[in-house]
Amino acid sequence: MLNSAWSFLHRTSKARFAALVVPAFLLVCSGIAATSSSAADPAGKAAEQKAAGGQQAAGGEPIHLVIGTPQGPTEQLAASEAESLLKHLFKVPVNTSASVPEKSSRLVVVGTAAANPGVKSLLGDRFPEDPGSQTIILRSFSDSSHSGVVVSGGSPAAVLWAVYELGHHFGVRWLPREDMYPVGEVALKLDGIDRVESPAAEVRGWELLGTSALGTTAWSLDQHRLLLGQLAKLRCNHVVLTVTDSQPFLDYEFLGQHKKTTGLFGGKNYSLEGDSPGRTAFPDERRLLNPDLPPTKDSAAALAAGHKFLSGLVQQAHLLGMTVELSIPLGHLPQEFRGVLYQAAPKEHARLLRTRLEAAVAACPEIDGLAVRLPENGTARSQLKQLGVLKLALSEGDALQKKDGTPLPLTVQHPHPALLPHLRDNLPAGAAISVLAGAPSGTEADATEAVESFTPDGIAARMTLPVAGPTFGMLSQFPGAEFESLVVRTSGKQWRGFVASCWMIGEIDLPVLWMFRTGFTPGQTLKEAHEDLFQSLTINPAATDRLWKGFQHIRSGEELLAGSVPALTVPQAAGAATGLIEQYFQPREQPADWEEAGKEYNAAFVEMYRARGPSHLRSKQFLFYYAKRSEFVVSWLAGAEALRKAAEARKADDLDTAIEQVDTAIESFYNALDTLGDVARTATDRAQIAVLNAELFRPLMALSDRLLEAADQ
Amino acid sequence: MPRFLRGGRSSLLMVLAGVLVSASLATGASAGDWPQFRGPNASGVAADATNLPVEFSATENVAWSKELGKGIACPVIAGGRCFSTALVGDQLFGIFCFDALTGKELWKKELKTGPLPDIMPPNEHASSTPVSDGERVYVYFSTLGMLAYDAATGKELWTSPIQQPFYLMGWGAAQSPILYQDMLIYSQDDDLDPFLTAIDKYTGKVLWRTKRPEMLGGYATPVMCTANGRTDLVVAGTGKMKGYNPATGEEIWTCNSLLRTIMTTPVVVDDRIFISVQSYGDTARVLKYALLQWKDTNQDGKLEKSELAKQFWTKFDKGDGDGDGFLVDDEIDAAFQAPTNMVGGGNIIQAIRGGGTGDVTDTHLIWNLDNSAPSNISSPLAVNGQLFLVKKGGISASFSTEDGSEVWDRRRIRNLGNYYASPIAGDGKIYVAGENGFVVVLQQGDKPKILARNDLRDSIVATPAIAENRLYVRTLKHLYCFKAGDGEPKAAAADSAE
Repeated sequence: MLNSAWSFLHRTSKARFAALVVPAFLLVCSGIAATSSSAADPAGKAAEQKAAGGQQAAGGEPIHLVIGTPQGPTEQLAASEAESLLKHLFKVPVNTSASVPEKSSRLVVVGTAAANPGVKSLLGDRFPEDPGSQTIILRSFSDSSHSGVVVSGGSPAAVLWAVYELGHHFGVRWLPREDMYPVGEVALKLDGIDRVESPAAEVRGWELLGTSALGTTAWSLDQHRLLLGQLAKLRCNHVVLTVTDSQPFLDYEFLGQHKKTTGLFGGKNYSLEGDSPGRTAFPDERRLLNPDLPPTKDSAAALAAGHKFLSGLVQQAHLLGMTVELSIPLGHLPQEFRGVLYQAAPKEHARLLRTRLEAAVAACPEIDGLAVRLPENGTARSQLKQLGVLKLALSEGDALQKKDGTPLPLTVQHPHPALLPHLRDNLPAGAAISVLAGAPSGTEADATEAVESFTPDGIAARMTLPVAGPTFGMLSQFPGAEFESLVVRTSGKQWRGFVASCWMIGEIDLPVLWMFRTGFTPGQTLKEAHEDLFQSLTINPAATDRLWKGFQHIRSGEELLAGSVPALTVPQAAGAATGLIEQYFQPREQPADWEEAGKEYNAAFVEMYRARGPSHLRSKQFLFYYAKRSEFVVSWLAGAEALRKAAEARKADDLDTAIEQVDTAIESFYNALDTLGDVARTATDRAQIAVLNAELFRPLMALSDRLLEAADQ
Repeated sequence: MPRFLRGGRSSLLMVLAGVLVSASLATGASAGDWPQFRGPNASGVAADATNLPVEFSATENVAWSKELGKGIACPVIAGGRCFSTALVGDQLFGIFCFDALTGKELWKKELKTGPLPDIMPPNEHASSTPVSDGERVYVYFSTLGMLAYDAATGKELWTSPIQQPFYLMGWGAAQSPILYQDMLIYSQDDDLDPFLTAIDKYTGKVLWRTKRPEMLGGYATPVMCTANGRTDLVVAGTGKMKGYNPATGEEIWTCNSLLRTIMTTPVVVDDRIFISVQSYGDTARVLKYALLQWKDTNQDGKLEKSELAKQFWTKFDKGDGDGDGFLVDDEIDAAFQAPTNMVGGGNIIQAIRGGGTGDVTDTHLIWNLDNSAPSNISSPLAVNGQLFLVKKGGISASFSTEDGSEVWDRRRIRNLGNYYASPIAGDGKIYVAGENGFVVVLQQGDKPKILARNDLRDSIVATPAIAENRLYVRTLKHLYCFKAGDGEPKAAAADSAE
């Protein structure tokens, strides 16, 4: 059962899963117990076997793991993860006990000071006097009877992070999707470790779910649990559950109108029937769905499933030491409510908002905070008006409360850059803000400038940082240069941290790893992180270099396509009233930079394949995904260009050429989606395939039929 | 309907009931069997098949189905048994024997593979198609060599180690053995040490082994061609189609008209050998340009040892004339591509007459087309005087076997995507399996008349098989046996047997 978390989930039958001796609750939260790099990777396995042999040569002396009396499930998890990590890394027996043995030269002492007296007794005055709740402690010790390392922290969550940091110290690279253990023998060297660190960024968060089929809305609860487990390894401490009213989570009634809509994907049905290119990624599915939130006309059943789902997410996040915020939109209402407040006074709007806020709390009483989203593309004036309604809504009735009766913190997300200097007077009392920084929607420069000049002035402020370029990850992605400066800035005095946001998980392993590590301990550049990560994956400096070049090509390609018309983004992010087919099938000049962008993506594709060849076996599938995503882009751009030419020909009444170009477009888009299907690895990848089939491929087939009918007349 | 989905312009059918290709193999298997890759003599033609299914799916007209594990080897049927293979665990190779009619599992073997090499998708480790004479079944696996089993019981008869193949581009093994008389014949054109060998099918003893030093990595299955009263063993490879004496392995003739990379298998009709090839690049793109594009990791314009797998270092040294540790230009050629065979890429469709001696390039190449119709992997089908080809995008073409004249050119068969499986024919129909899981059924004739488009909802790379008047389709994870419906679609469980 040495495998990555995701491939574990995909490959392991339920029966086999159930047969595992590790407690199930630890499995789903513990990446280490369930993950490794080597099951699909014979070379890695061979290396591990070699490593085991090496340790036998060293005597195979067991490690003594001292866990004290763990206080609560998070600290229990930390102890369990430590045991799994040590076994996996060093291939020696691990003897776990509550107290420090009389004598041992291989001691690993895990826990908070409250749970494990050993951490203080062994470090003495080298144990920090009053560690903060996020402080991690990794310190070697040695005396006549004992030597080893203390793995501790100022809270159970910090102990868990310290365990993962011990893994990083020994060469494990925790990634959003999987774990990469070091290749070859790992020296069991517990001396010389001396780190006491508190995070630079207080909040290191991640957005889950979303407003469309992308994000993680199509992810099952188990898949979310695995993702949360990986995020915990990156020392993520906060998650934002982004939902909309039309999804099966909020339940309310207003002016006699009961909320009915419960569609998870904005009411859309993404069919995979028939010849849907890329459908091999969905071997058993006829439509895109989240198995834990199946579509149903029974809104009560849908809501019950939704509440269970949210509750499961919150429980898992809490187990991993994370806080959870539920985010609802300020302005977006389900269809059945859109006429209810026509020309109504602000007070009525406030009453509805109050109802919705209370419904959000009722949907998930275990949450630690509530967030309200201002429209990303809203004007400063319209946002100001909405903030007024929010203040009014909060002024009515009792303060919203957590389950324990304490006030529920509120965060206002995505205030317009122009509003930042005026927030003190317009925010509800005590509300925090989350500023959308480096926005890839065309307001990037404004947002970045506003972020740079912003002085919170008493307002708790964090950034929402998109980990994507201007195409929102529909094309292969690598965040722009401003991403680096923004991540570093979130650790500055005026910011409390960041929440990472992405539509597509895609190929963002490196930026995510880097931003979370920088959020804790700044200092490393993205390039340095690249070299550290990919050298450990590929075991080949030249391949590592080619990969960096590949990512730079992607970055260049994305920059060339920024602001392109039509926007080459995920349909829901384009902000356009029309669908993709209407946007692409327009008689216009070829966008100036498309040809150049195509060359950049093609170069990226070549570099990814070139890097894959000499790389270590264990990284090949990983890199194959990158290569295929770039290949997808090359075909996608070819399809888009053919569709543009078709529109030009149609306008010129050259029907034969139009039909020919549409045929070319069909084949190109088909190949693009088929390519994605070859490597789809998450529910987001599959959602992208399903969405693009619905939003582009099928309408394109219909367009083709219309042109052929016209030709027959 | 889109133009590319419209298929033939005319609905006029030309149902040809003429004599199908006679494939003269002496395998010991019964007539009507499909004993090896692509059936009798790799022809893809089931001459005696009748009443084959037209419409089917994972739940319709299923005689039986099995979930096996991942694999792309073709199923083979001999003596009433159907054999298939799969990777059934991370390092566990499975060999299956089913009753061909009922799907009852007769026996199954599971073998530890040991560490598996890297391979390039869509290749899979269970890729080599078994071959059976009805009494024994022979299976090749890259890390295990050649294995022989009693077809009835699954008892191991012998094993014969075969050096593991290595490919500069990391494609991985996919060659399939054949049977001829009492010999098991196996060709392994890799980039390291290509060879052709014959093994005594009863004992596993190597009877002869002929090196093929001019060859680069390729996957053509050997075929037999009888001409002028002589039966030759014919193997297509880099730049050359060669005929060998099957008794000794001695080269008899060579036709130097092919291209660099040969992944397709030729087909034989009477004394003619047909081949279609698409090899990437133009005629000037010899191997070194591919190596400099993909293997020169640091892009300094020269190859160094660290950029190649260790297995190729001896060849590297051979080419490193000045001993500076780098291969540049001609040194790359000298290391990896025979100077007598510096062929490049392109597209060809050729007919070559068998039965020659020596260099027959000028005398036996009957016709040669430079045409973009060929696939790089899907082999041609020769049936009823027509050569049928299909490639990516579902683009089909057909040519007269007589003179290469066009029957139809570049017509879509209503199914996009990739094509790795080769077309097969029987009962007046042609079956074309797309990687996207659709099997298109065409009527044999002078137009690409589409009879059905059947959805199996799983990737298909393996070429299907025809035997017992049934169609056997190996998808990536399943094996299906389909039979013609009796008017009522038959539902099948996920894993069922009659």
